This record gives sequence, C-alpha cells and structure tokens, in this order.
Amino acid sequence: MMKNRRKWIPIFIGAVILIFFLVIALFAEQLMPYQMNELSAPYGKPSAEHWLGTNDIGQDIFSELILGTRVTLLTGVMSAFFIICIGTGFGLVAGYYGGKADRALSAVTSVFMAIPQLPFTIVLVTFLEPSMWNIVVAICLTAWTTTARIVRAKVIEIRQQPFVQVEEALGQKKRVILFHHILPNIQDIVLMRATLAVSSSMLTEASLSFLGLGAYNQKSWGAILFYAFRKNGVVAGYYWWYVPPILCISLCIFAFMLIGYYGLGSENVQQRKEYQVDG
Amino acid sequence: MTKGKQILRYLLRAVGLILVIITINFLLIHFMPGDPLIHILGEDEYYTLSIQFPEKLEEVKAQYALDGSLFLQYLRYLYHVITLQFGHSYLDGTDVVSTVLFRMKWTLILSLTAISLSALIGGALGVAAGYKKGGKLDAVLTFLALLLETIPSNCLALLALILFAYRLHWFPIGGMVSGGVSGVERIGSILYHMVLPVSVLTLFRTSSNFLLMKSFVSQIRDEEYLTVAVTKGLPSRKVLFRHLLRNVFVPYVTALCVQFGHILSGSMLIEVVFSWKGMGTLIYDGVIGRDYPTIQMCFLIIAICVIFFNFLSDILCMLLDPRIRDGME
Repeated sequence: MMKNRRKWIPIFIGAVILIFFLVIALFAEQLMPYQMNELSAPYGKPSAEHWLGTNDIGQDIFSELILGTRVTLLTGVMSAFFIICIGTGFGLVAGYYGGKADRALSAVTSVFMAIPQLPFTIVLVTFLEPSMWNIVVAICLTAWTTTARIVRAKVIEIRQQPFVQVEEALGQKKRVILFHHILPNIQDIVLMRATLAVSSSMLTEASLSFLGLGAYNQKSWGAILFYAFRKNGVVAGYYWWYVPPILCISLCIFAFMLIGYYGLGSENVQQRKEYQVDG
Repeated sequence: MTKGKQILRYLLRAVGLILVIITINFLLIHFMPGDPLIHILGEDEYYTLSIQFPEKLEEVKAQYALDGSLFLQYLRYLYHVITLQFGHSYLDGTDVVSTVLFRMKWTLILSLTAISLSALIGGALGVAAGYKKGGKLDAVLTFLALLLETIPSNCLALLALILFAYRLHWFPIGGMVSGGVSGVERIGSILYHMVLPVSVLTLFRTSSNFLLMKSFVSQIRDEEYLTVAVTKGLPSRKVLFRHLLRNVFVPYVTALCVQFGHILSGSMLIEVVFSWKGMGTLIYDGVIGRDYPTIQMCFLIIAICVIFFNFLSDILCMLLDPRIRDGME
C-alpha cells in the first residue's frame, strides 16, 4: 500500500500541472486580458495593465503566453497521437506477422531512424512553409521509429506466451488475436510512450519555433522566445519577456516526464532499461 | 558469416541509406508547391525573368537540369551531388560548398571539445553511480540528469548567456574570436569565447552519457560473474577494472560513436544563442532567408555524417567485442 501510494505521487503532481495548462489552453480566449489585435506602446515594462509587459509591436505578453499554451499543447498532443498510431501499428504488424512483413517494415524503420531528426524536420518545415499542421507532420515523420521498435520487441515476446499460442491453436483469427489479446497487453508501454512522445514533440516544436519556423499567426511558447531573442529583448534584459515562456515549456515537459518516467515507467524495471538505452 | 562479408553488408546498407537521403532531398525540391526554379533562383529573380525574358528562364532551366524526364533529372541531380555542385547561396551569392566547409570547421571545434569532455565526465560519473546503485550519489545525479532533460537546451543556453555574459560580464556575449589578435593570443581568445557554449553543450551531453553509462554498469553489476568476483574476495578496484569496465567499454564506445554522428548538427541551437558562426547559425540564417541551396547541402552533409558514424559504430562493435568477433569466424 505504501509503495503504491508513493508511485502515485509523481503522477498526481504531473496531472495537476497538466490540468492547469489544459484549462488555460481550453479557455484561452476568456482568460486573455487583451486580444492580439489590441496594441499598446511597444517594449512596455510589467505594470498593473500589462502584467508581463508588452512585446516589440505592443501586444500584451501575458495574453500571448496564454494563447501560446494552446498552440504548444495542441502541437505536442497531435504529434504524439500520430507518432503513437504509426509506431504502434508498425510494431504490431511487424512483431506479430513476422516474416516478409517484418523484414519490410523493419527496413523502413531503420531508414527513418538513420535520418537526423531535427535537421530533417527543419528542412521539411522550411520547404513546406511553416504552419502548425506542417510542423506536426514533420515531427511525426521521424519520431515514430523508437515506438515502433519497442512495440515490435514486446509483441514478439507476447506472441511466444501460452495464451496466444492456445488461441492460435484454436484457429482464432489473427486480427482478433492482435487487437483483443495482444494490444491490451501492451497498453502500458503505449501509454508511457505517448506521454514521452508529447514531451519530446513539445521540445522539437520549441526548437523549431525558436529557429523562426513557427506558424505565422499562431505563436507558441517557443515563438515568443524567438521574438524575444530576435527583437533584442534578451540583450536589453527584459526578463519578463523571455523567462515566462522558458518556465512554461520546462514545467509542462516536466509534468509529462513525471507521469512517463516515474509514474507509468516504474512498474517494470525491465521496461525502463529499454527506454534508457534507446534514449 | 565472415568478417569481411559482414563489413561489406554494413557498407552496402550505409551507401543505400545515403542514396535514400539524396532521393528525399531531390523529391523535396520537385514536389514542393511551386516551380522548383523559384527555389533555385529566388522569388524576385524568378518573377522578373518570367515576365521580361521567358526564353532566358528556359535556358536557366536547362542549365540546372530541370528539363527532361524526372528520372533523367534525378540522374543529373545525383551527378551534381557527387561532384559537389550545390550552386550559390541566394543570400550573398557565394559558393555554397566553400561556405559550408568553412562553417563546419568552427562547429567541429565546438562539438569535438564538448563530446570529448562529456564522454569522460559522464562515463566516470555513470560508473560511480551505477556501481553503488541506489546510493546518495546515484539519487542526486539521476535527479539532476532527468531535470536537465526537461529544459530545452536553447533555454538553458539563453539563461547562461544572460547571467554570465550580460549580468556578470565574465564571458563575451557571443562570437568566436576578438578582432585584431593573432598567434597565441588568437587561440586564447577563441578558448575564452568557447567557454560558455562548450559548458552548456557538455552539461547536456554529460547528463545523457551519465544515464547511459549508469544503465550499462547497473545491468552488468547484477550479473553472476560479478557476484562471484566480489564473493571470492577480489579487491573492489580489481572487480571494477578487470570485470566491470572491460564489459562496459564496448557498448559505451559504440554509443559514443553514434553520438559523433551528431557533431555537425547537435550544437545547432546553442550556436544560434551564442552567435557562434558554425553550421547551426548557417542553417538558422538559411531558414530565415529561405536559402534553399545552403539548407540542402547542410542537411545532406549532416545526414551523411550520421550514417557514416552509425556504420563505424557497427564495425567497432564487431571488432571490439570478442563474443561477436570470434562468433563469426
């Protein structure tokens, strides 16, 4: 019981932080003190009207930050969703059917694994023109490989177990075995990969928008940082401009890591080793 | 399978992967929205030409091998890549190849230092923590390493820049070398400029190396032969060096080798923050100015570097590990 409770503490803290950000993201319009088209004097210091000052064109940074929560979270969650779908699908099919399907899918996986992730994403977004959807696509294209490999290894392990062998001997359809017997057994891993995928997608998104590849009309936290850096907010020492986005990004990723590493990951020691080696 | 055959197989795979990367690059230019010429000439020049001299545009098209069937174009593109013809940057019109090679040198200075330092520090800390797993050192260092993973590297770099360069004035605010110095003084100045970016890079790499080494060591720590070595009364230094480190060495070295693949791209964001004129800032400027030739060549070189070092790590793993080496004879 004691051990159980200790396991839930990190999940609880992570969940509280996440719900906090989620509420902000959902009710961004209602929470924003100013709309993005309401301009005041640029480069304003924090004051009673503008809690975090104003940016280079006079937008309220606090409102920007609130709206950025939605963009950042949405990018992270959407990317993670596709990463998990592609990765789990590949892993399930390759691991269960084996043979030619496995060899073909593993070859595709290893090709995508050899592509350097961040540079490829940057090239892709530059060519496709920056927008939130293009960023999601670019992140997904290279990030699904680790999940595919882990799921494949786990499926191969489960396939050897008696309950699957019995089903097979009884002549159960492969599709039924795959979705009704194997999938439920890997849900822990998939869930954990999902939380880690959200945090790594958010990191990638932050890097992309820091390089100026964020969507033009949808500023994420990384994009706020980009403008603070590019428009000399950093040189001038406007800490109210660059510190809040950094804190938000780190806190949000921290929450996902708490759930992924400490919460879901600690159930099985064997699993954790895998993740550490794969990075 | 013999050793030679295995190496050949690895080599073929590496060459195949490089071909795939080149093909992706080719497809990107050709299936991008808009005429590929827009991206070669730049928007302004393309529209000027297409309005005033349409026949000149056809000439340029032939010059860049954009006429003929797609397959023919692909072959010509391959030829251009192999003979290192990447055209001119449209930001300043200089030859892309020479610019990239010049910038590569500066990136290498930065990332080689960081990788070597972090390999040593991270490895040593990892051994110490993994050998006494669950100890105080392990708990503190693991917590710090996981904490570091939550902070994007550019954010930490930014904070370091603000604190140590702007507030405390301990280090320069950016750049690589002060003007008007030469000889030993120049080297000193470069080193002085390197301190901040290298520290931040080293910090991040050390933490990942530490986690890696720790997991290797703690895995081997549980093996039976190590328990035997301890129980038969071998001094702990001998256990460490003779039994543990020898077994950890191979996976760690191959993992480091894979890391070397990222020497050109790993420091990208840090370079941007510290305005270090390496590959990273080149890509950054290229992205902002939509300088497609430069971005393309950078990506190609980075990818080839990654593939080459992966290939090398496969071979190293084969040559270093006696179990794999002798098993194949």
